[in-house]
Amino acid sequence: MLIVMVILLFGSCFLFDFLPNAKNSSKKEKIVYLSVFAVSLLITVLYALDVQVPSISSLIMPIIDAIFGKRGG
Amino acid sequence: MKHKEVICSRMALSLFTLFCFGTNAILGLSTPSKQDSWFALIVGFIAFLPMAFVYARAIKLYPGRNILDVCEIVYGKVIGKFFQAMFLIFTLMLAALAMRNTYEFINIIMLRETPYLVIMMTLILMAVYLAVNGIEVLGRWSLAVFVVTIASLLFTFLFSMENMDIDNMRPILNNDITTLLDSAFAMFSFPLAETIVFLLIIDFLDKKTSPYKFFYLGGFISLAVLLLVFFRNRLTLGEFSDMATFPSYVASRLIAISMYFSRVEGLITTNFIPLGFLKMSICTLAASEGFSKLFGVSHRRKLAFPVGLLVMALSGIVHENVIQMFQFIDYYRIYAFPFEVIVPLIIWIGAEVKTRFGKNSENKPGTQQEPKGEAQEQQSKDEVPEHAGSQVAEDAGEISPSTVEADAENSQGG
Repeated sequence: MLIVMVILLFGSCFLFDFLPNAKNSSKKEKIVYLSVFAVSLLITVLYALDVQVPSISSLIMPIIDAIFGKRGG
Repeated sequence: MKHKEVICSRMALSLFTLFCFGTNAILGLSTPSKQDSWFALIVGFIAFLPMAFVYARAIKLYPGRNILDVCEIVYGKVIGKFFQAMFLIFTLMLAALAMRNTYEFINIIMLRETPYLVIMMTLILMAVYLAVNGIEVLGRWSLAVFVVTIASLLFTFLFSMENMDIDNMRPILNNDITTLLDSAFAMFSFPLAETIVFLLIIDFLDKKTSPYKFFYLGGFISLAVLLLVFFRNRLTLGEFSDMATFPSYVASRLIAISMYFSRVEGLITTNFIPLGFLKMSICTLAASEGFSKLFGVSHRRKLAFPVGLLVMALSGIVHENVIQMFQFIDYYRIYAFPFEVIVPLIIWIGAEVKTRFGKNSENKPGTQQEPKGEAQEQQSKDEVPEHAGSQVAEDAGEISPSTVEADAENSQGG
């Protein structure tokens, strides 16, 4: 069910936001738009399918711990 | 010529205050210094003042431009793009954090069984709607929300008075100096210095509103509001305010006026959600600006929708769970330091050097360009496209000496 909602959301974004503006956009703008769109879609689909993606905090916190020492709770 | 979006100073200040109040109102203001957090907040505000000067000065040197333009003007294309990317990363991450905080609040307090994506989609659609409609709509909306929020804050403060106990503030200043400074640093980085996000979209300020006024007065109003929130929570809840997940919500739950009027927390909840997505909208708008400058897209609105979706996606993976969200608060101040302090300092120093010792400043004082008249200055501002490229950036370097003179006059006057 979640995946259907994701497809609906991203589909409507593509239909009602990207396509109407595509004619007035340069090739570079289309590439930027679609790249951001594709990355978002990929992450959201992974999340909807319950695929474990490492969290951003899990990447940042060990780096800070390594440089400044363990932070207290 | 593109229509330039500007808002009046009242709207700008309400945007600033609500941005600071935003997720802080949800998460509370508990710091390691506990009952002395008010002191930490004041010290954090004092520490913010020089940074507010840096933020405002970097913009004032190049009127009509935002910090992304300034990066490119001062440091050229390659290094400028690097700084632009830094701002973009910070803004995206901040938007994702704000969204996740708002989601966790909704999930824990109200909609326990509702799937994450359903709440997130609703939130992001509202945030994107505001971002797509631009800063004018955001400004008008923030003014209305500001009135309601402040009124409900005063209302909850007044009606919490019967539950307040002054002993909850004691012992006063019992913490050691290291803890107090660490707490002040926390208050500085979250939320005061987060307002650096405004530098990405600062071209919304009208001619009458100086960036100095925006940051100083906005910071001061935010300080007053945050102090009010802290005192309400601490005086009402005591030590429990350090342990509660959402202290403002818990504090307002205790309000009961006779036996007929209670459960005021609904009022608080309806305030927190607009505050959360206001912060999201501002960050989404700023991130769209960051993307459009970094990749040369003509207008930020074109990217508002996909950037909103990216924020939604990132908010899902920013923390594993709510425990990690609260753990990350301890790390946030260190993570944010380069973005909030080091990068702006580098840009400001570069901008000062460029405007003072740039090639146009080599003219002798007698032959230096006279400052432009107000009408001329306005005309030149209007002619600047909203998203100036590198060519315009070079042109900006040429007008800088007159800008410096005009700025010096302003700063003397102010």
